[in-house]
Amino acid sequence: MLLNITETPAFGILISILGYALGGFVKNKTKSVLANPILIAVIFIVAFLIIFDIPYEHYKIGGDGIHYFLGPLTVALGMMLYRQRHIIRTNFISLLVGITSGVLTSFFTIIFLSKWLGLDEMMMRSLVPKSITTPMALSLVEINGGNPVITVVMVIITGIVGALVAPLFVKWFPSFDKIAVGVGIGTSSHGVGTSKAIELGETEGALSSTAIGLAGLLTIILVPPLFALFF
Amino acid sequence: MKIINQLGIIMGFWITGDLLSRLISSFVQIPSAIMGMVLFAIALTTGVIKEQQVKEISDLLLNNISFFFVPASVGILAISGMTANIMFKVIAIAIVSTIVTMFVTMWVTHALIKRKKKRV
Repeated sequence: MLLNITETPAFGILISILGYALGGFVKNKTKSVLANPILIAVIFIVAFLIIFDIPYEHYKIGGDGIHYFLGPLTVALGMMLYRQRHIIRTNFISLLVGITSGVLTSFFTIIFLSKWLGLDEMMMRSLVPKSITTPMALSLVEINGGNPVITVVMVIITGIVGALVAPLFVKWFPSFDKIAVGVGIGTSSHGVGTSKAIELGETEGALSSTAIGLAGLLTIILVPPLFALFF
Repeated sequence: MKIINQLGIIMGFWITGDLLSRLISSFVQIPSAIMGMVLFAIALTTGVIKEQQVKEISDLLLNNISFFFVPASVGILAISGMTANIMFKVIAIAIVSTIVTMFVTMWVTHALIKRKKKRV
């Protein structure tokens, strides 16, 4: 009787909320970019499932309920673009060309390094969306193929790397325009990098959040035809 | 009630996006939620819907964005075939590619903005 409790939708939802709350708590306490709430939530949930020998399928019953909200969440990202319409309008060409250069750099560095290290095409398809925000990265995997789990993990690692190196770039290249710094952070490391950009300054933060949506869109438009060209 | 109505509007954009992306799928593949996002942004910009009509649900979703992909990340349990060797390579690629991408984007955008400022 008691064992069946993990097979209810409540279990997956509740443990996700607990894990996420723990992640938020650790992040607020340590204020470190390494303390990523999702990463902590995942470690907590995975450890819990392993320790109590609960099958992943049981977690998935409730987890799927949360997962389905990625659809409306992605649609709601349109609100983010709407709120930044003035920034987008005044810097349209710089943003478009700058972000496109970033999207292409990300694509070609991943393909080049993957080929050099001997990774297969499946792995490349999973890696390519890594610089864009998770809901959009998962959308890209849906149409372009790849393992969504590897993609999600790579997106998180990318965000943490971006947040760690962003302040170094500001130190090494002090002449870089604030707009350019923001666009670079948002394009290369989505929301996690943006949290660092917001600390660097208001302009950097605003441009970084703008770049998340645009970089995601451009990646989704450009990557499938690029893949078709190369494979 | 208000927030449920707002969620209804969002869902409406999602399903319209799905319909539209199916219609154009033979020319270009756009994921349905992304299409919904673009339609949603256009509707807000053109004033077809007002920000106040969807503000609460958008903020609720956007302020808790990372919570919604916890289940997708827990899926890591489902992969077991990844060896330490591949894991190491993949992480190395993520690090190098992110740093190069950040630099190139900043550099190109900086050059463009400098040129624009000079012209004004």
